[in-house]
This record gives sequence, C-alpha cells and structure tokens, in this order.
Amino acid sequence: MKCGLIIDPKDNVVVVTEEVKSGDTVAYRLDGREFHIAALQDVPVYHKIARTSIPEGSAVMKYGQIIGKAVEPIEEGQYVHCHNVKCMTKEVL
Amino acid sequence: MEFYGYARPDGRVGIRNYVLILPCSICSTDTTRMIAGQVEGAVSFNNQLGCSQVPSDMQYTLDVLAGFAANPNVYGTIVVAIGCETCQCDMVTEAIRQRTNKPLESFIIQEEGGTIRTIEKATRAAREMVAQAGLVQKEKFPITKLILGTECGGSDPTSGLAANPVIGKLSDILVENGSTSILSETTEFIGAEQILADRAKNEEVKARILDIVERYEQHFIRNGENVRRGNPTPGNMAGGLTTLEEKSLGCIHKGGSSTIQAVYDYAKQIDEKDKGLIIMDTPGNDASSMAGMLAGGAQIFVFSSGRGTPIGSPLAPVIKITGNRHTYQMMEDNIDFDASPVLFGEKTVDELGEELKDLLLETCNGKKTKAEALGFTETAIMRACNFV
Repeated sequence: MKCGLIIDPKDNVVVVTEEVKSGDTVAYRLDGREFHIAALQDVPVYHKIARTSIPEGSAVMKYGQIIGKAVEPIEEGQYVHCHNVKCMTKEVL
Repeated sequence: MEFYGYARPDGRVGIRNYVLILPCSICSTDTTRMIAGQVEGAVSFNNQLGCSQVPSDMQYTLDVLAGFAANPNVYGTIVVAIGCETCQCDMVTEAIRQRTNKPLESFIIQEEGGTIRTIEKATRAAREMVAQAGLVQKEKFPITKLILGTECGGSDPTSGLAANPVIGKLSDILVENGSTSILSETTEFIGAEQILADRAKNEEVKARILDIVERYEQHFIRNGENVRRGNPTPGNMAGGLTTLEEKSLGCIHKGGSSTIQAVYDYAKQIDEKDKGLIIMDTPGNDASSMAGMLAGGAQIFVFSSGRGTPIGSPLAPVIKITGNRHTYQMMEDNIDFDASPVLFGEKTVDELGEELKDLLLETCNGKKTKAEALGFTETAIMRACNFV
C-alpha cells in the first residue's frame, strides 16, 4: 500500500507521497474515509495520479482549482504530468 | 487571542524591543555595525544601497529604511549617515517622522569628523536609549495588533502540499481573529493571479492585484527577459509541478482562503485599519521580500522552505517551516516546524495550523526562533534598476 494525498474534495488527482510502481495500490484519506487507486503506471514521489477518469479537453483539478487541461483521455490510475496536461495561461513571447 | 508586547507611542505594539542603528547608505553601514556591536540590545543590518540611485530606485531604499525605524519591534533609532549620500540624513529622518514619533537621533560621519568620533557619540546615545528601552514593560494586547509576514523560499513540491497550506490555515485563523496577514512575492503568483483577483474585496483591489503582476512582467520585458518562459522550471517539473498554475497555486496557499482586503506597494506603511489578508508587492527573492514586509510593519514571519534555508531578519523573529521530512531531519538546527505529517496522513492541515498558531504566540511572547537565536539577519532591498 502506497500513500497519497488529496488536497481538496474537488480534485481529480492525488499526489503520491512515496515512489509508486505500476500495479501498486495508492491509498488516500478524504473526509475521514480511506480510498484506493490501482496504479496503471509508475508515478515518481510527489507527482500526480488520476483518481477518476479525466476526458480529453476537460479540467485537471488540484487545490480545488483548474491547474490545466487534459490533452488526451486520462484513465483512473494513470500518471498525470506534462505529457498529458497542458498549461492554460496565456503564452507571452 | 492575546499576546504580550511593548506599547509604542505611535499606537503600534512590538514583540521585541530593539534599538536600531540605521545606516543611511553603504558608506555608513560598517560604522553602524561597530556601534551596534558595542551596545547590548542595539542591532544593525547590512545596507548595500542608499547612494548612486535614481529616484524610483532610491524610493524603495528610503521606504525600507523609514519602515525599519517605524517597525513596532524597534523602541528607537539612531540614524548614521556619511553625509553626501543620495539618501540624505535629513531625508531619512523626515521619512521616519512621517511614519512614527518614536525616539530618533542622528549622526553624520563627515560632520562629526570621521568614524571614531561618530562611533563614540553614537555608542553613548545608543547606550542611553537602550537603558530607556529597558523600562518599557510587556503588556497584554489583542491579536488584532499583530501583522504576520508570510514567505516561501527554496521551494519544492512539499511546499505547496504541506508547508504553505499550513501557513494558509494560520493566516485564516489570524484573519478570523482580527489580525493582519501579508501574502507577498508577486512573481510567485503569476499564473494564479486571476484566482487571487477573484478573492478581492472589491473591484479596486481586484484591479490592483492584476496591475502589480502586469507591472512586474513588464519590468522583465523591458529588460529583454520573460518571467513566464521556462516556468515551471525543469527542476520544478522534475519535482512534480506540471503547470505554472499548479506552482503558483502552491505558493498562494500561504494566503489561506480569506478575502483580500488591500494591496500595498513595496515597503509602504500598512494602515492600522487594514485588517485581514492583504497583499504586498514584493519580489520572490526572500531577503528583499521580508525587508518590504518588515518595513510595512510586520512583527513576525512564517517562512516555508522545502530545501531548507537559515536566513532570518534583523528586527523580527522568522519561524521556519518545511513539509519535507528529509529536510527537517537534515536541517533541524535551522528549521522550527515540521509540516510533513500532512503528507503522510498523520495529522491534518487544520491540526498543524493550530500547532503553528501556538508556536506563533509563544514566539510573540518571547520564545526565540532558531534563526533569531543563531543571529541570522540577512537583508536585501528591491531594485528598480542599476546603480548610476
């Protein structure tokens, strides 16, 4: 069992607080209850794993806020980072 | 909620009782160090500026110098100038008088006839001022008299995950109880400024939040740089930060969830009527950011660091907090509070926020932080441009 941390109930990602390998179960607590995610990929420590599926084009939520947009469909248990998330702020040249 | 502090004639309350030997410029800075070194209870700091500056650049320096003297942790100030600097002695004393009526004396090296004569006179004056300061007794005051400065430096992912949310909880507690909490480091809310703007009290504050971010970005563009390019940095991304919004959201968590009441420019005097969460426009650079808030009137700081840093402040206790358990173990000599239990589900942000509040009150009431006890007083001042 590996540990994860969710910051806000609206978040659709969980931060893993230890190194996670594909096949591990990530446990996190929300409102006093424990939830599990089956890791489909490796996730480095302090990086993010999807706690629900995130359709392509929809918001990635962390801290209860939109931190980016999914650029491809993301399944529950997948590693969430620069390869599948795009920044939303304006590009300044 | 109450704390013990020293009442000042200007109505503010200090949690320390220093006599400040204030250098107007770099040319008098070593002299002030020597004076402070002769008198127990007198302090000074390294001033690299105060001369060869254009007006817009000099204004930041002048505001910091005057603000330091006005800071409630200071009983009184002895100003020491060389005599010919841009930050002229009478300009500095006038700027101080506009902020406070506390004891104030001054000496000019070129008029006294060199450093040894200046040090002799200023040391006597400081000795007498420290003796008077010793007569001020601590009294109980409501927490509404406290202004907290918040800061992050040497950040890693744990900063946004644990340390900053705990600081944010502390900020909310203080705001609920009628105190003032300062969110700073304008460059570290680029990417999340709209979120902050939406928490503004009114349209005017909202516009100011967006304006200080825009202003800072324009400053870099004028210098041929772009603060958004390459942000998050490769180091941030390797650490787990994916987007600029995510990084800045981690930083702004120091501000908790309160409504933003006002926005202050760098080192300006914070008005007593501005209670609650406020923003001050400061750089991400730690020492100059804290100097700005100290000049505004903050009596105490809480500073998160994922990697660990020893820096302090010449006039205020700095409570160091980290969310990184490894860092806490490695640098326990310099870090006061371990927020890593949040990451391992051992304690909640709310629980640690309460514990941090308890440490804050103890520190107000006299418990020295590690940076304070070890004598760290790093000071830097924001710049508008190069020296002339």
